[in-house]
Amino acid sequence: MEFSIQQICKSFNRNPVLKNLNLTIQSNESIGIIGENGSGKTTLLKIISGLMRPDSGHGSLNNLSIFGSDYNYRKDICYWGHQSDSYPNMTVFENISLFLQLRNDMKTEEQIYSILELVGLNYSKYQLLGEFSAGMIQRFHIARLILSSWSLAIIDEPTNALDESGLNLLNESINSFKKNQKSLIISSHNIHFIQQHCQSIYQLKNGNLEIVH
Amino acid sequence: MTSPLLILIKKELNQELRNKDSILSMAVFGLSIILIFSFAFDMSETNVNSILPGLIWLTFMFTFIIGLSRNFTREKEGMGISLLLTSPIDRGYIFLSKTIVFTIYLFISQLCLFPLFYLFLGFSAITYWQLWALSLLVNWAISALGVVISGLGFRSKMGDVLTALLFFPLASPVLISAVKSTSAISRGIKFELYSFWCMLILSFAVGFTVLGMFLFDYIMEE
Repeated sequence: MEFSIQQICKSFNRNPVLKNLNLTIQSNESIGIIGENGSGKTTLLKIISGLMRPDSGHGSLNNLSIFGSDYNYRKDICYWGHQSDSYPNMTVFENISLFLQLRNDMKTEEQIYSILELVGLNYSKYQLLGEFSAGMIQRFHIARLILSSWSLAIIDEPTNALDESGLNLLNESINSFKKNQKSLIISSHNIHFIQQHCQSIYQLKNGNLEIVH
Repeated sequence: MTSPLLILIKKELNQELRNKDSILSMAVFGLSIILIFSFAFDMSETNVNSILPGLIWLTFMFTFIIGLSRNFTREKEGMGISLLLTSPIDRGYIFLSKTIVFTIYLFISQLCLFPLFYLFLGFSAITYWQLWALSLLVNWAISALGVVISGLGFRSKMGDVLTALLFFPLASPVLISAVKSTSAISRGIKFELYSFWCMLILSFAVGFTVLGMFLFDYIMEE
């Protein structure tokens, strides 16, 4: 896996948020992105995941352009955003099934149930996602990451709302992903968590990425 | 492997079957309008048949906007749209699935409301198959147009206003053609004499479907 973005610029209402930003990630590499509120961390992650188009710049994942018309690169990326990125009027099982079907990741019901049990959502599998607490939604994101096949995960504020057992689950899952040669981009205000899991740490400041570790 | 289009259509229909909010709001609104019209027009004094096609298609346009607005609001709750946009599928399928399900929803609302137009306002053309074929064609055209415009307004804070501002002027040629064709069908006129209006609707349907398929990728991105 090789991912890179070059010369990425993004402005909102002529206010530049990202300025000629470059980033390269290799296989089995985990990088952390820190920065103040409004520094552009989420914007950068949305651009990488394909949710947002930059004003200018290039990007590629395994030699496939991520800003072109070829959508196949998205199979290798898994995005965990601030919200559930799912449908509140569907059950957790239906949402996970839909997520896997759209990615053409075929999993049996038993496999889904066993992962839901692992993340502590076994008793809530038929509950509507709209009835979930913020912490349960984070566990739902962990289940999606475990069940799907990807080579680069883009994770935005994963520790938010997680209780101690949830944090342990997240730590174990990330360690397992790293063992399986997966790459991760993690944005968080939790410096301890970033230091624990990332080989390189970048700070997003004034639209530029500066390496801090 | 199941086609992404089928997966998305199934998702839309499942959500609607669970909540029934789009179809229910469309049907209740349509029923209210028909009741108001039936009291507003004195059937013995007014030549209702000459204005009925206009009333019918205006009713369906408004019911469509209500259903469409509900559907896109559902995509915003929990940002389910992010799931679709980050999936490795052609985003044209998202457009196509919504266009297909709205063509179906509108047809279902027409199945409920046309008999009421007959019952309360004496619109007798509901027995003509040409009317049902025309309805499907118009449904396709306004669904394709509506989904493109709702997509444009999705990220905007003024999305609903933008939808109304853009949809009604752009849908006018379809609305006028639908009214002309319905009027011709209800008077038993030969197809050749109103085929121009049907071709106009078909052109809009094909044009906006192609436009939506190719542009939805750019329309839906932030």
